[in-house]
Amino acid sequence: MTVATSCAARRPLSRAVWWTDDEVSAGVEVRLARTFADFDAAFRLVHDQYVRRGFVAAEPSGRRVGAHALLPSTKVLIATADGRAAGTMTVIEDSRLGLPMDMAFTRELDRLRARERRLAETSALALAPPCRRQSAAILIRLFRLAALYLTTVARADDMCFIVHPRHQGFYRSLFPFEQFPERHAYAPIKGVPPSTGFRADLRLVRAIVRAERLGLSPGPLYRFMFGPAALRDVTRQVRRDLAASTLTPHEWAWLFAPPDGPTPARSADAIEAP
Amino acid sequence: MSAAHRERRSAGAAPWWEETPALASLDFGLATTPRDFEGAFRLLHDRYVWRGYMAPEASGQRLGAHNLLPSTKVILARSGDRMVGTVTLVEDSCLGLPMDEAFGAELGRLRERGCRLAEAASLAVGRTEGASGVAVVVRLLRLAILYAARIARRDRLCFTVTPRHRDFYPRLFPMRRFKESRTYRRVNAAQVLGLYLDLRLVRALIRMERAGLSTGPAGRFLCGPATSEITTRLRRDLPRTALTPAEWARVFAEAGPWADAVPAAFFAAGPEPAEQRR
Repeated sequence: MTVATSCAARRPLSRAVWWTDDEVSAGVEVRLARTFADFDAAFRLVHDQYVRRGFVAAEPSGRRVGAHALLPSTKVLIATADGRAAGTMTVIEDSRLGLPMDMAFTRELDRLRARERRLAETSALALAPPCRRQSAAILIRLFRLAALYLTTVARADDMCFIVHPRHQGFYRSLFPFEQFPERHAYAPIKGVPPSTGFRADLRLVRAIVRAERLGLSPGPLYRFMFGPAALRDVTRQVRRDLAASTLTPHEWAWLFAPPDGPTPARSADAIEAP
Repeated sequence: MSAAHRERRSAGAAPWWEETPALASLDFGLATTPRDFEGAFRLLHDRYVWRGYMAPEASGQRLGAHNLLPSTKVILARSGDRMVGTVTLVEDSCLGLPMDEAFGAELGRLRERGCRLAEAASLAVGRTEGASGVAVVVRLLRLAILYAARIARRDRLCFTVTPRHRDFYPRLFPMRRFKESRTYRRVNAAQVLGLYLDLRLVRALIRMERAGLSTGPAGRFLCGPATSEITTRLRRDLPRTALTPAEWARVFAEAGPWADAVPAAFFAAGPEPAEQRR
């Protein structure tokens, strides 16, 4: 996952403020995108941050949307603060399309597939500049939602992502990720040195969830991410949003070839109706 | 000072987990020879008689029908040739578990939920040569837990304890307790409590420890770096951990009345034990 923020890597992770619920994280809601406005805001945020960093050229649409986003199994996570998009991350399950990072790490991913492991990738991470003070808190909450979604709902075995070399230390201090041995250039992102592929073994996440449930914790960060309260809250939220977490064909058509006229709107009732 | 007093005094103390020279001189492993089995059965007999759990047997040994099952493993702590401690790991089978007699309903509910059970039974610790008795018990149980979790791939390890140990074992390992105490004929109709440990949790803790995430000294002791070495040794000894029918015939014949409980066909004529071992 190419991170469009640079401040996170320079701080030590000993700041409990990043994972405790306090004034920094107050007002931040992290959930699955469930309305067209959510998706639109997420795609625009990724576009703007990637353009700003020089990772991609500006698109006339002002959005960055890939083919993987069309898959119903792909989930866009969004963090909102004060009603505005503060961060986003996309969770992509492996399919016939492969994963976006197959462009750089296909050999490593194929080795995992050969072991019949179900893969997923977290990609398109972006944080809004006005929320820099909250960036690590938002990032950790996005990571928690992605990991718990993949663990409990998608039942994947590995969560993989690409990390900018500058951010490796931060991620290593967050979770015992395994690192692919070689660095590779990732063609869709310009101006970034060869990056590292990280892998979170989701069986380890399940193990932590099980231990936390019985009161055995490896520490406050893990209790925050995978403890009973986190599991209960995230699961409840995902169950609530899951049915609405995919764009309709009409919305997709509008995104890829926007006609003249207002943006598609949908009510919660329309989505939830059988 | 009785063993119970010593246990109470040392409950919560760190030295249980630490290796001491006295503990390092002990050898913990599976019984692999007739001499091992006999030593364990004798130690069990002597300790149970001392505790008043049974009347003395002429054979000076205590063993039961579950010992005949190839899946039953006798775990030992030895100091040279001397037996220091023992516990027996019984996997669930058509015979059930020894503690079914007292907790059959509770175990039945676990079985209905698809849990594969095992029991740690026949725990006894003798003279420990300067090592803490609790430390020996804990290490014997660690072997039983790791064997049940990693080799037998069971889901729950159950056992009975006397009410005075009600809080002791859950402090060592994250165990749960069956609600009611029961009378248990196998220990002279004493009152016992039923405990069980979720072995899926043990496997989860092993995975976490391997990834460098520790839940504390108890978790590290049970599931930490020593786990691999212990499991390797258990696997190495595994093919030699069942006595041959002829060896059993001799052990049971010496054990006297117990032999009546064993089907005669089990002792079908075969070569002498030494010949079979060769």
